[in-house]
Amino acid sequence: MGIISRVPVIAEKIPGGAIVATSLEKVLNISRASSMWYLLFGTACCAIEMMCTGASRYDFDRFGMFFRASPRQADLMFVAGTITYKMAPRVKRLYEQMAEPRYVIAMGGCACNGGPFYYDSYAVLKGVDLIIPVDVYLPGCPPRPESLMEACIKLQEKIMHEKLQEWSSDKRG
Amino acid sequence: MADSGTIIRLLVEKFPSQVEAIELNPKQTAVQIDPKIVAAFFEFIKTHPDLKMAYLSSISGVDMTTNIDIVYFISSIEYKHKLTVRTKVDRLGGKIDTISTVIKGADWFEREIWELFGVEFVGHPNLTQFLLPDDWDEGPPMLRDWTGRNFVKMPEIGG
Repeated sequence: MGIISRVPVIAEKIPGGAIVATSLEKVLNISRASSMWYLLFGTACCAIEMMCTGASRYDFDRFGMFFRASPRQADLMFVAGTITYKMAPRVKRLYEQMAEPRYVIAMGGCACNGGPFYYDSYAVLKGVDLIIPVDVYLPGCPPRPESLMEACIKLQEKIMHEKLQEWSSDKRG
Repeated sequence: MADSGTIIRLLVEKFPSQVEAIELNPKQTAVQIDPKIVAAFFEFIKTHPDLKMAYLSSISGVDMTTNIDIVYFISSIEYKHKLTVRTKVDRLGGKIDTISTVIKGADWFEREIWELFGVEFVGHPNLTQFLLPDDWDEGPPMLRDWTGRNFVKMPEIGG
């Protein structure tokens, strides 16, 4: 661990100075949690709710969240909508193109487990967790913008509890 | 605009034994035709000066369990009249002539029915993989008794 283990765990203001000492882990976690740029990606009615949440009435910007049209610049992916077997390899590729650390919120019933299309469907993937790892499952058909914001707050909490030692492990991605 | 009776009279005069009027609902003029004459039939209703039906809204496939019904919905932009044309093909390995040689817009509808119901359209220019996943190998999925690797049947409720 080297120098990192010698840094104080909690933030500490040095008297008379403008320097704040804290742990690198905490700084990085705060930075990550406060600017989750999400991928502009939606396949069904959930995408409408996602757009609504991103627009001025619900205003995702106050979480530091803003959509990016390229997976290379995105940290977070809302799987907003029904994923068909034809779409599944494309979703997987988009996820793989995102830079680490990357997070996934399965938004709506379809992305969680196939939802209303679970039975009698030849085309719909039964849960996006079959192809990519999911951090937060958000039920609803489609979920309200408030629910989506709650899911993002849950994800922020999760990010704030991440340990530096786990970053390089195979736990994600 | 030709009324329902006139349209059916013209068609029955032209194809006496292969065309038959059927009753669907009062606002819909509908005929059942022999699948063998399908290309000649659409050529006729497209070019006849009193019909001029060249706008194909849709083609449906219906699995009737004994056979597959192919249903054509066609109308005339000039005269504002509509016609529903029903025809039957075999359920497995069914074949019917393409009408995309007469009406270009039929191309994709026929391709979709070929993929989802397994009906072959003889003479179609490009009958290849269309809407299903690229590596699909489970046969036409819209047949009523179809089942696949990841297919889950709805359980009987209350049974």
